[in-house]
Amino acid sequence: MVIARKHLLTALSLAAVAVLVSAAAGLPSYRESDTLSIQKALDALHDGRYADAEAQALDLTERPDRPNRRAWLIVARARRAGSRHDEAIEAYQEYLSGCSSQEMRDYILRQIGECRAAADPAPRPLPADRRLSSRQLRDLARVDEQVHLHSTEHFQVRARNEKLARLVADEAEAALGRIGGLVLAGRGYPHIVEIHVWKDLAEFRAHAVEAPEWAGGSFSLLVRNGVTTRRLDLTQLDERGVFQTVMLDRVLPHELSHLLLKERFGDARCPLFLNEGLAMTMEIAPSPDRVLLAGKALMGKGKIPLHRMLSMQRHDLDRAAVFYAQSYSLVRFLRERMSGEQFRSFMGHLRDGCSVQDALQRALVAPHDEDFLLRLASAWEDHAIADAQFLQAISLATD
Amino acid sequence: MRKHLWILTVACILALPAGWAVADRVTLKDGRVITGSVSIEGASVLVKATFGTIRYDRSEVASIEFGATKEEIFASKLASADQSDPDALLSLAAWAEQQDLPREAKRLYQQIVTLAPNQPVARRKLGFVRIDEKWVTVAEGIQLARSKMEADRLDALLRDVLPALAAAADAKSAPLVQELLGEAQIRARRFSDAAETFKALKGKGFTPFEMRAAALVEILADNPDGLYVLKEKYPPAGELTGQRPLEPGPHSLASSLVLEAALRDRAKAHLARGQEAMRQAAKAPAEDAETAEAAFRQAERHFDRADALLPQLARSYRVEIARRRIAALRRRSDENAKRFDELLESLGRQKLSPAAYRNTVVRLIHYLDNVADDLDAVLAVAKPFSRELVFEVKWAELDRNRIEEMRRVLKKELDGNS
Repeated sequence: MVIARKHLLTALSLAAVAVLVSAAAGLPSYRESDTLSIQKALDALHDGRYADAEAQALDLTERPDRPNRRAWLIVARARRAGSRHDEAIEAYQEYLSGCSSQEMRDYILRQIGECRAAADPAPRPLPADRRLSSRQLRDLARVDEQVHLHSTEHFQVRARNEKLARLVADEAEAALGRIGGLVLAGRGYPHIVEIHVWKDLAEFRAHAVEAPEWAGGSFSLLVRNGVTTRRLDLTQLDERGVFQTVMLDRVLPHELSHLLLKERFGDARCPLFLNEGLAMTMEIAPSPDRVLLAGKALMGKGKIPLHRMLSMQRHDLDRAAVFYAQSYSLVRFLRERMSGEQFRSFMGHLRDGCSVQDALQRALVAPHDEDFLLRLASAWEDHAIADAQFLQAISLATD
Repeated sequence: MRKHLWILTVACILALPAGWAVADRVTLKDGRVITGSVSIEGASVLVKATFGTIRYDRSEVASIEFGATKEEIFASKLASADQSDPDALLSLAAWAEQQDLPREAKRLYQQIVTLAPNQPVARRKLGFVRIDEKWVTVAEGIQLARSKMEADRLDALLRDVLPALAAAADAKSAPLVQELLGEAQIRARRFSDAAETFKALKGKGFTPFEMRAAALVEILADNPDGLYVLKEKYPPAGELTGQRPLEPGPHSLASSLVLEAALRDRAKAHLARGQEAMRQAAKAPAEDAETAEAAFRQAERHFDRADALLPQLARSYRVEIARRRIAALRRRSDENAKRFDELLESLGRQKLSPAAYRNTVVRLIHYLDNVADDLDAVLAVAKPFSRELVFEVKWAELDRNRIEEMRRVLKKELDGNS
């Protein structure tokens, strides 16, 4: 009887062990369970269930036995999607504190930067006519007999108005920071640019270097006797004798952009659409007229097809206004969809002799696509037309 | 007499069981009889027997009695078989395979499936695999598997389709099936299983398959939970071409687009190394073609790796290499063309003996041939990129025709003076 009981106990113990073993075998391992939870949280994130994604991921990060650091990435993304930028930064920092990969560190720091920018966006520069008082504008219209010289780190401005010389130098430095960041690949600009502000169009035409008849501003990059001179020529007053705010908002950044592109491309040819398009997008004041004209042209029969636009040169310009408007629209389209680094790389490949198609695909590190230009043309045209229609609708509504 | 003997032999063979082939018999003058496969080489008679090959001098041989060949036995078996009975044909096909008669066996299996379309042995022997109650070839099965994967029918794919394909796949299609299996496992979020599948596939990392598998092993090792962080939007050109890209951030590797992005991230590193090698090539002086060529080859190896992970990623760089190679070939052919021009010019300036004249024409032809070789090399380099290098191709073709015409004239001149 005792023996039988002993056997029964042994059998029961063995059965219990067997049950435990089989139960353990049925359960996923610790790592497998992590995987399942992470995947569930990713599904929630993908489906736009941000609160669920955050809660599930937080669960993983807060587990006392083995917190999952990677889940902080899901938490951060879910918080960003809900515009909780400060909390997203906290989540990124939690991940960052245990990050051992350079690549991931760079990525996280970029994300933190984006969160900060989204939480506290930098103000857009205001056009001169909105930030200068009428008294200041009157002062800037004054023309002295003597020429005033004002120098900053990169500019030497000569104008017959001391305040204007200062203002132009400051504006030029600001424009250089903005344009140089994109065009000069983050390198410094170890040069001095002369800026000459002429009283009016007549003086400008008489003195400016390489000044076209129709323009109120020009740039030049000349090498004489081994000395390189960088120069911008601008005009102070319009035909009514009023100070031209357009000189500060449009002409100065436009010509400076041409100058910097010339520096960047050297002897290589910068496509005209890029040269003009980029210069226009660097202007401070918005250009609704160009948006409307580009949209109108692309909608109708007057459009210049993309493949033709890309290779056009100054002497091909039979419809200059449409070409400029379309170039502005195209470069804006590209700039809005490419990171600064990608855009710089695009310009670098163009300078090295690539076609626009190859340069874009190389800059994006995208596989070769024979129909890339067709697809680009279609997406850009749709966007430009929608933009123009939107502007048209707004202007009708405000009328 | 020989004919009668053969008929008798064939008659005996018909009575033989399957798997038994009749051997040749050699009777030696000393009375010994050797059986085996007999062949005659000059004055020797060779008998390939089970224990080895023996060589006899013809003078030692009294007679040779040839048995029927296995093809003859097969023909007689086939003639006597019931052509409408799939089972009878199946056993004959098995016998043919045993006798190393694969073509005959294949024809029989084909005959069997026309009689009995669902005969599983014959279907499998012909390389068919049964998927969704239909017999399909392995190639069709792979396409079907891809469609199932795109349609997210992962259970059926992993449970039925891929095991069936794996059993039917030959050496060429087996890696394809394995790759599909690994991808399906990733889609089904069985990341550790997928890692094992790709580990088995990666080999030494030489072929594109292996390179891709090796990269996937690394990706899965770095991200065992299947969470992958996209550092930038993907596809990268999506926004420029009207396609909505995935935003940067954490995503599941179970998405094919995310997996592609992960492979592209790895490919970018190879691309960057290839670009660096191209920069080295550009630094080589124009006259040092060998250094440049070595750097180009190194760049191409990196581009092969990049393209294995994401096809066509390095194409524009390959075109650039082709362009630079063509420029180098052009420089060389220009030198030969210059030598040709100089020699041709000298021809009109000096009085030459007939022998010297002939010699000069031969040298002119030699220079032309050198130019033609370079132009042929240009065409070979440009051929894979004929769309991008259309001008280079046209230019080389025109020059090649001109050279051919000049060569014809010079050859005629040479023939006229001989």
